[in-house]
Amino acid sequence: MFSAARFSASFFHPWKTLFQNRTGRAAGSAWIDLQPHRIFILPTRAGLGFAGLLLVMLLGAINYSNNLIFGLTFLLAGLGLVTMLHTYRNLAHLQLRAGQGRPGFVGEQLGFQLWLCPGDGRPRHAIKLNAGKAAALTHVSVKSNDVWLHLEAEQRGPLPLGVVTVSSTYPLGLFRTWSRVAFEHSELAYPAPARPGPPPPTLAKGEHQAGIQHAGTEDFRGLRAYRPGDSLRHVHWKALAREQGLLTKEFGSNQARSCWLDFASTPEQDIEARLQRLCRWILEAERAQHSYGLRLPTLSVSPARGNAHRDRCLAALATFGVSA
Amino acid sequence: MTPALWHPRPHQWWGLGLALTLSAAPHLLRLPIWLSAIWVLAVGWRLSLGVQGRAMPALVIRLLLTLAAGVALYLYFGTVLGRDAGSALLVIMVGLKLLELKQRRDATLLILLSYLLLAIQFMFSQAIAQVVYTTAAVLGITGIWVTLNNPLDERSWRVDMLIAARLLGQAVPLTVILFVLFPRLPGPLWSLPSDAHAARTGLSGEMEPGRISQLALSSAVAFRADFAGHIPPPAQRYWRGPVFEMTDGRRWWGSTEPYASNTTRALPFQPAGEAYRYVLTLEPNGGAWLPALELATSIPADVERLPTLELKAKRPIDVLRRDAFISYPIFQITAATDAELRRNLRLPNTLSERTRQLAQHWRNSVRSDREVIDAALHYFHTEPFVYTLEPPLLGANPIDEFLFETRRGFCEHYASAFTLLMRSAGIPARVVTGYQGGELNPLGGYLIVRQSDAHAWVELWLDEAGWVRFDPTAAVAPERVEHRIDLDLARNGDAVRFQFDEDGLLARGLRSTRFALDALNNGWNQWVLSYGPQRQQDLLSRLGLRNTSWRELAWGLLFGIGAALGVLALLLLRRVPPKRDPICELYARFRKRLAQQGLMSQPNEGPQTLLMRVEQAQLPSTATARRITELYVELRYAPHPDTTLVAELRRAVNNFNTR
Repeated sequence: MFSAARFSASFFHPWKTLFQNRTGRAAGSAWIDLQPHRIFILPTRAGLGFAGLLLVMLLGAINYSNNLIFGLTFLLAGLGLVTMLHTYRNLAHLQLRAGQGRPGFVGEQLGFQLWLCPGDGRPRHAIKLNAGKAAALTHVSVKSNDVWLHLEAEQRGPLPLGVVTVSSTYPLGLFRTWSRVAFEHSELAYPAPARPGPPPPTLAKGEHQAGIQHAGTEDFRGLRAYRPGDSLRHVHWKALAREQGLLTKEFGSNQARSCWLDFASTPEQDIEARLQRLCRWILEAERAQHSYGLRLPTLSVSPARGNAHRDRCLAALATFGVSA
Repeated sequence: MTPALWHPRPHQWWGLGLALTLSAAPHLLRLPIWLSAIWVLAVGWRLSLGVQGRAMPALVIRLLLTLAAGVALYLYFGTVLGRDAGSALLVIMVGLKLLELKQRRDATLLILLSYLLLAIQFMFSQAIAQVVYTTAAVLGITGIWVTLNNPLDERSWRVDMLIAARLLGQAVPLTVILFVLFPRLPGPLWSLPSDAHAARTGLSGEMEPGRISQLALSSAVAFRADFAGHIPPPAQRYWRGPVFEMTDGRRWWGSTEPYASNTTRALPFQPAGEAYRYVLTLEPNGGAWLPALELATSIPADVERLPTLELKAKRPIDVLRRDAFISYPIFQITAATDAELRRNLRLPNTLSERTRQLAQHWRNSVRSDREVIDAALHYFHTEPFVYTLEPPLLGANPIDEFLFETRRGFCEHYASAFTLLMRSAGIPARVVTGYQGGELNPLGGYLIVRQSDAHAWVELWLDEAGWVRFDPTAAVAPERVEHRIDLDLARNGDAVRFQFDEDGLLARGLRSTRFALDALNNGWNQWVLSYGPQRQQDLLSRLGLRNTSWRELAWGLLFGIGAALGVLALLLLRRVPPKRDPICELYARFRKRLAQQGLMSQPNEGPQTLLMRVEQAQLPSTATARRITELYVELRYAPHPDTTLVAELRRAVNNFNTR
């Protein structure tokens, strides 16, 4: 694939590097600039067809000594050459950076966010990004733009984005220009939650059923300003009627309701199955607004609740036993 | 793996339809109406289906349509090859291809075929108007191509057209370099179909009553002659075409008998008087005759001088050609073989006794050949002969009928009758056809000779002078030699009227417009249409590059294209300094001044936190800093900032002094 002719770079770089794999590496979240020596360009099938058409027209012009056909042929040939420059320019000095991704469970699509920005202030058109099976197509305006690539998580642990091929055939599809950027960025794939099964063992029996259903909605703690995402059931409607604005009634569980989700206490024996069970328990406890802690053989997370806590626990499951 | 189906959006369907229409329209106007109707219906049908998001017609329908169109074309043209039938086939197949548009590459193919159709149209017309149309169509098709290649969103068609215009504009310098430097080869690479070139009118290899008068009804330009010095007077403007020695009494044709003295390199005539140098730009005429001014001394390499002194190219003249000549309108042809003279005394069996007796009568009543000739010319002059473009049809014995009954004829009638009268009187005579006259274009300073200037005259052999030109038409209508036929008045069968210069204002205005257009056409012919191997060498030697081989041309071409592309790449890829917001610019200056004072701001530090640190540092100009921050926050973040505050911000920043 890389034994391909490159454009422009050959004028500025030693020949020995011509056939080398020039995949750019983006460390961390730094902007990576698609430098000329990273960009390849080759005619597409349509481009070869166009060349064939020009050849037919040229033969016709010579055979019929028709100067106007000569003229049209040359105009189209010029168009093709100019298009090559424009296609190349569409990619040159495009800048990319990995953004905040979206982790997920095994079997789901993990989202990788990439920020794109024209390094020379020129908007870009129809930029295609490919990483594995993931593909995205975007315009890049003068400001920074983001685009999402979605990769399916097949196993637990960090899923690297890997090599992203950035390509474009704009404006006429006669040439394809591409560049490969290896991102060190990865997103976490959490274990898939196990099927609904036994409740977390440390939750008192009898309390459990009610707890899952109603826990966290019982102890009224006070009022706070409404935040988007709050359940409408918790909105203090009477206060709204009194024109005091939108207020949310806050409920909370007390320390007594906190529980430990322990690796050792899962009914399953297999490590992966245990992790999946723990995952299920974390999700259920979070949904029930319990305070929960996670205990794994290698580490433990002290009880708390909230999305950040949940993600910390899930991340611990995801990376359990996986050498980072 | 089959590529994914492509579902164009409605605007892309309309674009594709428009691209096809733009490229096929010139052909559709020329093709038989039923074929154009099939095309329009097929394309319109597919477009309406496509816009509604419906599938293409069934395979059976498509196959049947294609088959039917192919058969109909074959029945109509009798072939599917050649220029006319071939282009018609391509047009109809492009229309039917749209019916089975499935994938993106089908659309690309249709765009490429659109360009091809535009190119083929140049085989039918090379007029300036055609080029203007084609340029506009190429722009449109390219813009539509950009639209088809934009998979993301629907933007204004103006944006795509602007992109296409920019691409094509940047391609123009490359086009010029390629056009000038691409090595031109003479002649066709392989044999052309018989209908390769547009139907041409021009001098014919034979003559019969009515042939030239048909030609004379056409105001099409036959050729233009651009003289280096002055221009010969109208009476000397005889442009020699095919010479006819053989006749059956109605039809005339050139002799195919071999000539004895054909091998000498010496000039077969003696020039006298003034020499005229000129460049003759000959419109394609399908024949091979080069109607140079009588008589040319130098001839182009691919042209031969026939024994009867007309010039004939080795190949039919299908494309515009441009040749330089030197001619002597005054000359003597004193060499003739006995066989040649005998041939030019031969009379057809059909010639009536009455005609022979008329000639014998002149021969017997006067002494010299000159006197016989004068008597004949006098006869034409005094008898009620009429010079007309639409003579009555002649029967089995045309010369007799013309001389004694109808007495209405065009130059070919007079020339053939006069020739046979002279042969009857024992004077060797032959018919010369060609053009006579020419209109001076005062704008370009060249002569325009039209098909309506086609003419026939006579050469007689006089023992003391050789072959001498006589123009019997001049005896009937002397104005013919000095003035042009007024075609607008000539089509009603009346006697021919001639154009005189004392026309009205309107006529003069029309004429000068016509001259201006013709000068434009002439420039077009000279610089574009006739740019061939010779012209290329001329141009290059004018640039100081003599005798350039095609190898040198190819190198020059590569170098030129490379240089042009390099310049274009530099222009396209240069970095544009990012345009910064003046407000950010001013605020950055403010931060820089703070930094000079030792108050380094962090990149992620907001204006409010920075201000807080300024206040903590207790700088003397804290108040200004506060105002600057206020203004900056207002201008940057307020939903509807008051832009008049920019001036105040600028003043504040300029006055901000940390000391």
